[in-house]
Amino acid sequence: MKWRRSFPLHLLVLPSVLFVLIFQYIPMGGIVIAFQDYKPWLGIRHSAWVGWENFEYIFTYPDSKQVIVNTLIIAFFKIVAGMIVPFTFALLLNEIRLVIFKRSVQTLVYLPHFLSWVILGGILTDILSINNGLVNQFVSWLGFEQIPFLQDGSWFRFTVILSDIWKEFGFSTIIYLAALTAINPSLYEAAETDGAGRWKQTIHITIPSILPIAALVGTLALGNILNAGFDQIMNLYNPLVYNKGDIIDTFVYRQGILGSQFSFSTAFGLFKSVISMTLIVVFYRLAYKYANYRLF
Amino acid sequence: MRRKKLKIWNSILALTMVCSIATACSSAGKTDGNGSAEGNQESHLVNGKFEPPITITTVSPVIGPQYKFMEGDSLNDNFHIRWARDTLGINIKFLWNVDGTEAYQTKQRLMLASNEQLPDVMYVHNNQINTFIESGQVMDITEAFEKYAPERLKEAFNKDPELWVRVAKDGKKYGLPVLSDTETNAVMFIRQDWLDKLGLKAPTTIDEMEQVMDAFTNKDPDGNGKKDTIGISLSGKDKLATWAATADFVFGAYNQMPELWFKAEDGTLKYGSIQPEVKTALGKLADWFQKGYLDKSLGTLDNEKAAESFIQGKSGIYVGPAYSPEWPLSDMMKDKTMAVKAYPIPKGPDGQFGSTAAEKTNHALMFRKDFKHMDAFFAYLDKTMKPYDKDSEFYYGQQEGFDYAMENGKPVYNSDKVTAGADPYALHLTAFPYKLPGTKQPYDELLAGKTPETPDEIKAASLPEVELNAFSIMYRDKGKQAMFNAFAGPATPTMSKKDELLKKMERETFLKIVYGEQSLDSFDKFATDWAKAGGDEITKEVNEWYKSTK
Repeated sequence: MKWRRSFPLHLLVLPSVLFVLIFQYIPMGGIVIAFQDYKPWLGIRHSAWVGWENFEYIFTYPDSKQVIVNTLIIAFFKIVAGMIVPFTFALLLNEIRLVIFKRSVQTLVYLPHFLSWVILGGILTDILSINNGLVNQFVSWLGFEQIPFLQDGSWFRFTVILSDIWKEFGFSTIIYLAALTAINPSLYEAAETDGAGRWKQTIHITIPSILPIAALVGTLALGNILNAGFDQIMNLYNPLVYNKGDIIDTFVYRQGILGSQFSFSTAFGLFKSVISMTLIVVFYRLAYKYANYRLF
Repeated sequence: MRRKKLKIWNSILALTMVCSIATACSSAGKTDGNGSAEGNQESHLVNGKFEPPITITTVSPVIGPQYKFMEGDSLNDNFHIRWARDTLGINIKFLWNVDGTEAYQTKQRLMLASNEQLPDVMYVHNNQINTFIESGQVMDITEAFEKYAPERLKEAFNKDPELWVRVAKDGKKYGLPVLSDTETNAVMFIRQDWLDKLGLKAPTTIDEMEQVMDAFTNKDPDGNGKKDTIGISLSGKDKLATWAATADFVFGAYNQMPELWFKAEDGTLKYGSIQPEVKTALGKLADWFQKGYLDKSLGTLDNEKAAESFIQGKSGIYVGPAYSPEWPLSDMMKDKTMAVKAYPIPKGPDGQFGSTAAEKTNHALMFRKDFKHMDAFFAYLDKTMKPYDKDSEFYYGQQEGFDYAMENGKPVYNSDKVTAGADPYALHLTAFPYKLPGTKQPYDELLAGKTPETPDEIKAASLPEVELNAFSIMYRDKGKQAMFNAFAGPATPTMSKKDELLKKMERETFLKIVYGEQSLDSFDKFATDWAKAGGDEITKEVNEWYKSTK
């Protein structure tokens, strides 16, 4: 009886399960080449097994430390700012009464999310360039020295983080806005009766209500601690900023794809995935224990 | 050319594909041994025709779904295949076809990984040649070439044995190299109107060029009253000695080229980037940067972006391949207010000049190990190979009504009787026109006022004059100017491990020297670091390879 009722629902979920199985799980078999000296013409079955050699190679490669540190720094700031900015912005937007204004701002800020970094990379290179760039013309009009946004390591990190936040914060805001609409209005009514102003309401009702969502977003974002944004950096970096802007993914691209070191790049990818998964599991446990937040 | 633009997308695609290919490879199929050609082993030439007919299988890298056949034709039944069958007794059969390098190479890799039988004749790009040689599935054609190849082809290869270098291994020849279609030796493009306005002559040496660049930078050549022009457009995002908006001529002027292996006087191969001549050239570039002749953002500019300053009339000189007026400078050609002229690249203090040259051959035709009819292939090549004589049936084009039409006894190429846009050579076993090495180019004669007759001449005559000039300069100078990479082998073991590290070190150091962020003397430290970080081993391995090709 129960089965008959739930059968159509199972049928509905079937395509998604198949999709994940075929495109996510089955290809995972390919990670065995991380433990091989993989040659495309020999295939997986005939390539030689090398054990942990590729992983040893990662940790003895002179530039590994540099790219891992760069990745961690850039990704860390992206994650932190990527949580604070949309959170604050959602709170601010929530206070706006004029619906048309609210909606149009919302739409405008999430538009950049749909542009690809290939296009944005070209635009940023233009507007940030020395002498002819819009931004630097403005900077010199203000009487300051022109800023090497993309040609100096530290400025490069700053530019990368800021432009990523600008591109993505509008889209992340949507999640918080959705959470805000789910708050029970009677809570606000009760608070008002007790004499709480807007500020007190925000502190005691709004923020606690959307904290679980923030915890969820944060936990999932931690999985990206080793992803500093391949397409962005690939399109913006240059030899001048290698020391502070070269990240794991761009390095793997140069070494693995341009140099045809498939096993090496797979090993690095696997290494990244293991770290990310460990972090997610650990932080999920912590969130469960201390914030009493459950996702599963 | 356009491929550069897609590089990023391709790489992203490639990243995602690495895994999927790997998985697909695991499901390797069994070899099935039913060769299609073996059945006809008794076939031989009767009056220039094979009796009974022979089947040669191939695959196509250039025929996609949008390929426009002549009416009634199809992939395995078209005018070219009928011609080959009726005149030579050769049945050409396409096993599969795709359009695009990426897709083609993926299919080739899959074919190898799944142990599928290879086609009899197959186009193989340089970067895949070694994979196929190592797979042991392709034929050593040394003997067949000597026995069956047309005399003029043998002569051309004897004249320039280096053409074999890509397919040679342990003294054997594993394929027939195909000449590169586009030649990339740099030509200097300069704003003639700026030169005239400032009363200057086109520079022929680096010193003269410095004066010209100084005037372009400081004497307001565009007359807008602002100091907003630069001397030369250079790209530095990838590397300095690149292919468009390139600085390779500066290195060439001092007779050395970064990232190229060259034959030293002691007969060994050495790496260009660590030679003192490169240091001198970098010093020049740093000096130019400091004096404002170069774009202050050149490090962030890729080739196309770097060319923009020239296109927009902010820079006076651009150095790049002879086809540049078509791309990336095409927008500039439409603008009649800017006069651009092509000149040879400037010479250095010793009268030396040079630029990086694309390899002489960029792909090869490779043959299945058990393919029995090299005689038929070479007979076919003899007929279809360029250039065509006056009495060749292909003199005017491949097929009337397809790539040319006859009007009043003269060939026309843009009439509405011609199938628009389709490439007739795509139907050939060679996938691209096979040109005899050393074929004469039409540019000089056209510039001297010859009426264009053959398809090549007519195509060339439709180019902008500046491009014709550029091509003529390039073909005149390329013998003296072209600097080839003397190392053409597969990546050596240390190279696969350390190349990325060394290149990164090199490009970072060079660009920082140009920017003045590092002193010129840090070059010496780079040279020793390079050797220590694996360069010495690579040099040793490269020389081992070099000995093995002799």
